Amino acid sequence: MSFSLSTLAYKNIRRKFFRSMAISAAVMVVAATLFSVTTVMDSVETSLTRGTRRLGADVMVVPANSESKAMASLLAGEPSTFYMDRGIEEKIRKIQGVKKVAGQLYLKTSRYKCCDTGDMFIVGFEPEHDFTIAPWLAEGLKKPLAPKEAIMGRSVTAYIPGSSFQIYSELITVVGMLEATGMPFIDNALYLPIESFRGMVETTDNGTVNVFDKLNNEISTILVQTDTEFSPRRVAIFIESQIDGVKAIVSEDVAASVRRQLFTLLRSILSISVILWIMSILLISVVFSMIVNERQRELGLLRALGAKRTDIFRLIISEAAVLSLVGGIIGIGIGGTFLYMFREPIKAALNVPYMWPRPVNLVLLVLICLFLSFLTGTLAALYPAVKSMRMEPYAAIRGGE
Amino acid sequence: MLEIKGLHKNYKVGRDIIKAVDNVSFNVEKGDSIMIFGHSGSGKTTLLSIIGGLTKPDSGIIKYGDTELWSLTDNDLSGFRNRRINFIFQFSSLIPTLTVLENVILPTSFNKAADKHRGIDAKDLLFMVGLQDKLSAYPSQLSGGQQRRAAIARAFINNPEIILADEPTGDLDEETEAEMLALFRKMNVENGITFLIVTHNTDIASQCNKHFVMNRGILTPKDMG
Repeated sequence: MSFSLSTLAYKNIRRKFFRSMAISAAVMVVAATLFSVTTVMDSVETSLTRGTRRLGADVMVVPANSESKAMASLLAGEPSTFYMDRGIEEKIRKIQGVKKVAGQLYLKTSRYKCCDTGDMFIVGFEPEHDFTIAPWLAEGLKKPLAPKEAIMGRSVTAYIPGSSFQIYSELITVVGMLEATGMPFIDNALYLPIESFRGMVETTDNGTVNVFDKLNNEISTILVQTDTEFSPRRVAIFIESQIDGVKAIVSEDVAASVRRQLFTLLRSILSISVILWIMSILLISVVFSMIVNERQRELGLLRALGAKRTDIFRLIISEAAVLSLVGGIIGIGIGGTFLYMFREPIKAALNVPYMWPRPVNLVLLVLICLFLSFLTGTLAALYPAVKSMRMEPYAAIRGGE
Repeated sequence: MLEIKGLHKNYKVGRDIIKAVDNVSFNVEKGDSIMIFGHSGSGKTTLLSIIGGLTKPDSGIIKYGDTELWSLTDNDLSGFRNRRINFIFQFSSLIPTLTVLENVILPTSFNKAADKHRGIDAKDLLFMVGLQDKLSAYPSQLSGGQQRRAAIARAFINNPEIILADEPTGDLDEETEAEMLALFRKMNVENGITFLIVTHNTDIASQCNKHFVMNRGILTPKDMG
């Protein structure tokens, strides 16, 4: 029959089950908080990075009075419409530092008014100029998008590629799907060539009306890609100074503004978590000091029977490490479950783009939180462990009497 | 086998200095069975702890063969205790979280490199002390006497050269005490294990070949004639 110190550590943990669980619970709270906050931060960062990359534009030009509407659409996915003269597109094309220009036309649909799509955000784009949508098709198209063909964002669940829907008089077929971005604006919209709008007529009591007659010469947003030698901010200044009635939004600024708003909040929570973590270390350290005091004679006996100082150190540290890791694993599990179950309320509360971190990041976050959990116990038990291992066996035995 | 020369150990209690061990010298031969009498507080347990490498003397020499005990590093001292010395303490010395069998084999876990066949089988030892039906019991499920017997069984597990026993039969009834003393004698005669026993119990005297009395830290030979 063999016997190891690990068995003794395991049995010691079981001996005072409630106390052991209380130590694990302290680590669990810290791990759950740290994991949730860092995951949300990483999620937002991932979404912003992917979203702005997906947008593909360095600068978004919108009507001057529609900046807040555009931001609400972009960040929260609130369908909104605003229009400006389509001729602006050509003017922007001629501005120094502008490399590519593509217009987009926004349309809100309503089940009761026009369409069988429900309340949907429709984005008309120009396939001949587009540099933002087609490159990011999850299921690559072998041919350019034809009129009356649409691509859908990843969160549109009503359709699958190959299905059709009715907008006013036109039957549109979904032919592709975009990758998920976490940007509600992109994930919840349907994209079709602007030309698809041309023939759409609305039947009213007074006959049929061409819905987009009035929009023929209008556009909602102009997306701009800048030359590498010009910074987007500089090009935005050129645009605003040369064209009246427009606002040039720099994509990086959108992400930066969200980061600023949200990360201030998350950093506060993270700071509280760090304080919580330090308090847990102190608390567990006190508990472990009590444990080793209580077991002083036992530790002295182990030394008398031949345990080395390092055996005593390993015994205490391994007990602390196991309890911490158990707490960490449960905490991460609870944090992950919480994030998954409440993802929609979290999205709504934060009002920012949000998607799960990439698997690599998620694994990294789990490992970091596990390591911090492990560190919590080992740091907390370090002083009591060192104190115990340094104790003279006879003094330890007598101290426990 | 064991040479003890000029041992001193003082304790400071408040402003007073207590001489727990005062210039103790004696020799132990292999196979000796030595008894040390003495009142409580006379320094017997401290002396045993110094000889067992559990507490360092203020001065003096303890030599096991050619090895000067207190010149060993802490790791070597632990290994020395594990392989060559074992203890029977006067208090319940079982680890409460371990079963009786686990308590007995515990010393073997500290020396992985040791020859596992060198020692005596744990189950045989527990049979010898009459605890063969308590292998899986925890100390809290045993009487004081049974706990003492389990600790005695553990003392023999690594087949040590010397056993340092502090009131080894303290909790035992007369019958069990006689059985344990018989076991000591058997181990002494058949396995050549040396015993150094600290006790108040004069019944043990008959099976020891050397006798000492300890008083206020001073050890003097006693003729039991």
